Amino acid sequence: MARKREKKQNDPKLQNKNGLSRRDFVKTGAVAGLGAAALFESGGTQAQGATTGAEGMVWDYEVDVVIAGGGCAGLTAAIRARDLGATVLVIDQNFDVGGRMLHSGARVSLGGGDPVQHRDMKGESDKEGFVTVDSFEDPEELDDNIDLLFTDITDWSVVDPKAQSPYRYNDRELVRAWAENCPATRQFLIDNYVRFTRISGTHGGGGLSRARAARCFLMLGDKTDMKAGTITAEDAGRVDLERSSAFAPVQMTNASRDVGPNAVSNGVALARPLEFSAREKGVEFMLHRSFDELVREQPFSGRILGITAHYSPRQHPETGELLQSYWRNGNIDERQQTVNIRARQAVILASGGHAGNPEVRSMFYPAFREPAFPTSGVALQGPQGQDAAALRAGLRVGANLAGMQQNLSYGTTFHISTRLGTRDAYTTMMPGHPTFGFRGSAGVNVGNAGFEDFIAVNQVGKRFFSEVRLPRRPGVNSYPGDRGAPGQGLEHTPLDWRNCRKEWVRQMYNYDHGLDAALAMNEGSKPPHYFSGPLWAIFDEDAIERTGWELRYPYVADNGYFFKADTIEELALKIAKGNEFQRMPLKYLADTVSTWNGYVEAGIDPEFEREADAPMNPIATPPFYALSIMIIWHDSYGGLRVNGRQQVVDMQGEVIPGLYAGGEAVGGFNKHGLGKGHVHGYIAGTHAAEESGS
Amino acid sequence: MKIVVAVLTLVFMTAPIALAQQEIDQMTSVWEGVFTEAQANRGQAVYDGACGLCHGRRLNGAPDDPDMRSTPPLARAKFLREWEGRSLAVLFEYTRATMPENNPGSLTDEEFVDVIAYMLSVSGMPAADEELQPDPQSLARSVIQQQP
Repeated sequence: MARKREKKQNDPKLQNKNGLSRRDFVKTGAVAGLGAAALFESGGTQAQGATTGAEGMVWDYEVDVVIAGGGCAGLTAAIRARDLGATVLVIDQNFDVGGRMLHSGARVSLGGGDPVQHRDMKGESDKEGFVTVDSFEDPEELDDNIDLLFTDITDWSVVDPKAQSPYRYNDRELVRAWAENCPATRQFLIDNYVRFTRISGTHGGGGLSRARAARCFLMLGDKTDMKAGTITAEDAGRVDLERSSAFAPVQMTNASRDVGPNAVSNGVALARPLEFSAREKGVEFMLHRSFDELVREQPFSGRILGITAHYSPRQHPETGELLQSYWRNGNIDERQQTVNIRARQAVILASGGHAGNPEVRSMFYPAFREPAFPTSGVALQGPQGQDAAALRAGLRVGANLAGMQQNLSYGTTFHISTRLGTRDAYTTMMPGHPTFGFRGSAGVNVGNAGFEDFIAVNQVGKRFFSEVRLPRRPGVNSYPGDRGAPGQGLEHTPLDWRNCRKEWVRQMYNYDHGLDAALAMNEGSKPPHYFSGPLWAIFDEDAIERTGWELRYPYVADNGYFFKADTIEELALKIAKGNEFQRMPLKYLADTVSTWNGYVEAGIDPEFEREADAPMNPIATPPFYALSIMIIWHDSYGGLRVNGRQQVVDMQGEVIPGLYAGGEAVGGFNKHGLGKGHVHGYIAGTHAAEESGS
Repeated sequence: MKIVVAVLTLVFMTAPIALAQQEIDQMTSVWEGVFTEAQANRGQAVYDGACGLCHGRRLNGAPDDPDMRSTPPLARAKFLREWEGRSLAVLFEYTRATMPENNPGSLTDEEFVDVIAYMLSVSGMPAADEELQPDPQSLARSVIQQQP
């Protein structure tokens, strides 16, 4: 178990398991420092006089394996390393465990001949007999192997409907290791109380040749019991459509189609069983603890020895009380501002990506430095979620980067949400979860079809694109997917030049670029940032009559993302005054509405040709409304470079000893979601536990 | 996949012809009471399990899971506009041949018409005393119209 160390030099607790005292340890660091100096003299590139990494470090805790981040990669790595005998401490900046896995759709696309593929091929049920519906996929579509999976995920010939090549730039060593570990990871998840639905196609980035994705489920029952696989309707959020629970931030969905009666699904059915298992096996957690720095023997050489992390308390938005995790066994309640945690064997970085850090995002899409647009799940994750902590710390010890262009080739990386009226627009959390107050409103999900019922304006009140085309997302390359390739499943021919012949790409290209117009500069974009500003859906009372949108709490609230007024002029004033990112008046809004009404009367929209896409309706019947439109940067693809053992690699191509990373913290692998992170965690946990340490 | 495309082609090619052959005075608007409340309630339960994940709890084509992209609305004005002038038989055959997308035809014919009853109910149409029957001949006599 993680051992708290007293800060007295002669304390016997300072002895680590190899019998190395702190004084000896510092001496060891100094020896390494000499080695580094010799390297400089022989022409190394590091600056002379760089500060030493480890000298003088006083450790507050020590443990075999330290993991930054308790999401899909981190929890999996923790359990795996613990299974192999290591003591494991997971730190997480949030108050509860699960990361983004907890609010996900729990689609786990693996393959390579994994146990669920085999189960469905035979048409068998799961061992508990919960799965009672027949297999969806033909046995041939499930007949998979590691070589085919590896080929699929590195297939140079596949081009998606955005004319990007999602598999072409994937790192071959990384993907080979991933493919080889998919079957074992599926079994590992099953062994840790995760139940899988029938397989249905693949999830984004899961390849085109075979069906590989299953969701996770629990069964509604009298009690919430991860061993039994049951959850109460209250905990699942299935009693009241407008209420979430502390157990399940996002209400679980009916999964009877994919399992049988009384099955419910989403990331809760994946995150909570894994968390339960981790705690049961003795993994320890230090929550409210944000990862800051890696401690290396020398700044750019030697082993990684541990981490530093600061206290990041998350407090209830109304009461101010410290938020508490749902389960607490195994929690270490440490409130010291900064702690230094010694990792005897390895550090695993699983603290997520960079989607919540506008400064880091700007290296991929400079216009996305606009802070008005968040990452997904900001209420649940808090301001330090997806803050690029692993990327920043890795760079400071010399790590290399990989796949930095791959953010551009997945459909949900950034997209315009159809959920209006909330900043936290990529989740369905309702009141009942302690962080709902950070959202303030659940938003109104109008779907793509709802975008014909308003005009969309920018921060100065001007239209900027055909509203109907704004929310359309380009397809992703999955099976059966969006016909990005000419063939799917058994009809797909991997590595065939015809998959990307330009005639085919012209035919299937399907990206509207509305998001790019939404991020464009406008009259309100001022130097030096030239921010594009917030976006607003403007409509009138008749639109509500047409659509039945429920503009009431908890869907909307007086939180700066929903406004109502008797005149357009008053509406513009309210927006300018009430939204935290609206930096100027919407001075053109009244003219824009008047012009629009003229277009409606004439039946022609000369600016954006809306008449070709959908009916146009006047905005004339008060009261008038404004709902925020959000661009969401959901997930991250560029990140730290790792090898097939998930070891972080430096800019000379050398492994950084004792440092592993997985999930969204790493780059070079354009695969969406959980199937990537779990396998990364499984591999990292395996090798971290085998490290001999320092 | 090829089978689904073939069925769809058949449905869309033959349905208007079949409709045109119907006597106009035999046609009933879906607004004239073509399902029962109990049937719509049964359909809601089926919808929740088989359709709701993709088409959304409000039948507006907005999935609750933000990772999923929008789908066609299955109720209210936009749905009726899309299906205006076609019969419930066309809708029934289309749905039976293509849905649920990951397992087409996995519901019973009775379940499919129950779901259609639910879609009509959410669209604001009144319930009556007769249930919709899973019979293309009788469904062909009910025509989808926008709100009168």
